[in-house]
Amino acid sequence: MPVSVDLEKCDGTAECLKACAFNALEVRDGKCVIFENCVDCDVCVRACPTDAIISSTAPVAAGKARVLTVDFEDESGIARVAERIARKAEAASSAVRIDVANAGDAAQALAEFARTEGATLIILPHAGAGDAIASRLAATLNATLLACCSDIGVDEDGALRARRPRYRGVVEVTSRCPAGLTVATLIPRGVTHFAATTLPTGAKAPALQTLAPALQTLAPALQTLAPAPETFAQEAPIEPDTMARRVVAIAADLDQATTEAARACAKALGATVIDPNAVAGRSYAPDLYVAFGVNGSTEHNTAMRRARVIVVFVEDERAPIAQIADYLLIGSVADHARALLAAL
Amino acid sequence: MRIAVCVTAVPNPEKVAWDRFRQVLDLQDAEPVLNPLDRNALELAGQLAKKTSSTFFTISAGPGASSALREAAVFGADPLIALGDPLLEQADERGVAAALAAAIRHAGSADVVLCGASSASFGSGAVPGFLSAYLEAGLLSGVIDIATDDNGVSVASIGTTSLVRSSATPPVVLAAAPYGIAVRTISPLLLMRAAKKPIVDLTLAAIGAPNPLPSSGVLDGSPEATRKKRANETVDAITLVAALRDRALL
Repeated sequence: MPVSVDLEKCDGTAECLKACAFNALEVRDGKCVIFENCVDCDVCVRACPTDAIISSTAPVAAGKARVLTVDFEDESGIARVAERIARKAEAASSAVRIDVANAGDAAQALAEFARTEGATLIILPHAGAGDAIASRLAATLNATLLACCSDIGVDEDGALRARRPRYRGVVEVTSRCPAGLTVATLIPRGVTHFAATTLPTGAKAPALQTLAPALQTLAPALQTLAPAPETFAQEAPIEPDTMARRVVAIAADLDQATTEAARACAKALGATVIDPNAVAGRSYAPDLYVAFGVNGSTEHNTAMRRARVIVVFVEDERAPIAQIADYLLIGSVADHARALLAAL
Repeated sequence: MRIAVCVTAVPNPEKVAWDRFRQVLDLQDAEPVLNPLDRNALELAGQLAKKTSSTFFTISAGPGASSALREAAVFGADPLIALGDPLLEQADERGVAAALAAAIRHAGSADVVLCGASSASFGSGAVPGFLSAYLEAGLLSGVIDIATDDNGVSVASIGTTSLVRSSATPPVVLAAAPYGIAVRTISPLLLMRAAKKPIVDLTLAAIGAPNPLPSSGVLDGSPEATRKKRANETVDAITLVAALRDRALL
């Protein structure tokens, strides 16, 4: 399970629900529950006002990574995210503010400073001159450029992962780049105070105040934030009526002949028939789930996606339920249902 | 003064639709057009060319280059150079910048290279930075006005809190600001006149671009998403029953 919940901290405000684009969360009995379809985007981690949701991204880069955060203003929208990235990677962290009047000079000064600091990940805002400086910096340092990220993390292999938009195909994907020196631009969100002194451009970098001493001071407090594993081990709860091993769902708007054919299939399969509109908020994990004429709302798909095998009879292949199907029978639901009955 | 402008084509933003079934952008009806943010760079180039009694040439790399150049010609660009090599279809910002740098050198280099702030499609805004590095040129961003001075060019750019005027010695890459520049309207009459200008098609081999093009090596797509994805196999009833029997579900 990608993220977990510290139940003691969770106050059930449901801010995480509003933030989650995948409907992977619920609040039950005043506490947040994470479902298996969580994609580890960490949006809920940032949204939670009580810091109760904890990303499980492994801090494998401990002691190796050095994060350098760069911004242009005191009120930065990337400072908080950058600090969290450094904390998750157990990385040393420093911050610097830079004058952007000349992007080329700024990139040059940053390159020298990054070499001095031994930075392995340099984060700039994806705004203003940040894009141009970042790419010039990446070229100067021969580093990988990871542009336009909404979040950055470190995966099990020590490689960087980032959420970022793509124009073609899916709207947002997880990008992965090899371990090594990386320059990333992060989309600013909100306002956080950026504690850093200004790096002069066109001159050698002077000694700078960094976040490292502050982080060392905070380290004991941060350790206490990590609860015992059993405290936040959560499983998607299974309702008593969701234990059937074979489940058939029949859409309510099918004509009588199609419904009868679907019911006959369910009988031949020895399956329990359920109402697809009544599954929202529950979690089913049958061995076999067969859906007749179900379009597939987000709530439905979330409830049924734990099924081992999903068979979908649907007219329109673009229906959302197709995304969770193992086997698709596209076209007339009635014809396919009768054919299945004959084959059985 | 030699001036170059790098432009790109993007799917027509006004024709991009939201596919609510697949939860993706539908680009089927969005023909390639000139990146709207590149108009700012073209406008600045036109103004600078007028001030210095010079001309400027325009380069576009990747799919839809000809469409972008046809609109760019309205701003007075001449010649129009298209890099339509298939290798560019898979290139990232680093690769595109390397190709553009090679094309500029092939065209006889440039004192001032103008780019849009970013593309309206993905919008990483990384090309100007990479381009300046490949051309070993200076880099200024957020530019809204250009003039000439004793050093070369004097530039007004959008700083953190106010406008900043600075001067730069050529060669320099200037990323035009995404706003704050009055851009001329492209009328059908101007397009008709511009349509007569020839477009020079070049390949990467012809301009001496590196092969393969450099890349950042970033992989898009989540390993987790791949693992969780279902087969989505379209079958008939007989195949389905056989598959379910194979999986011991019947």
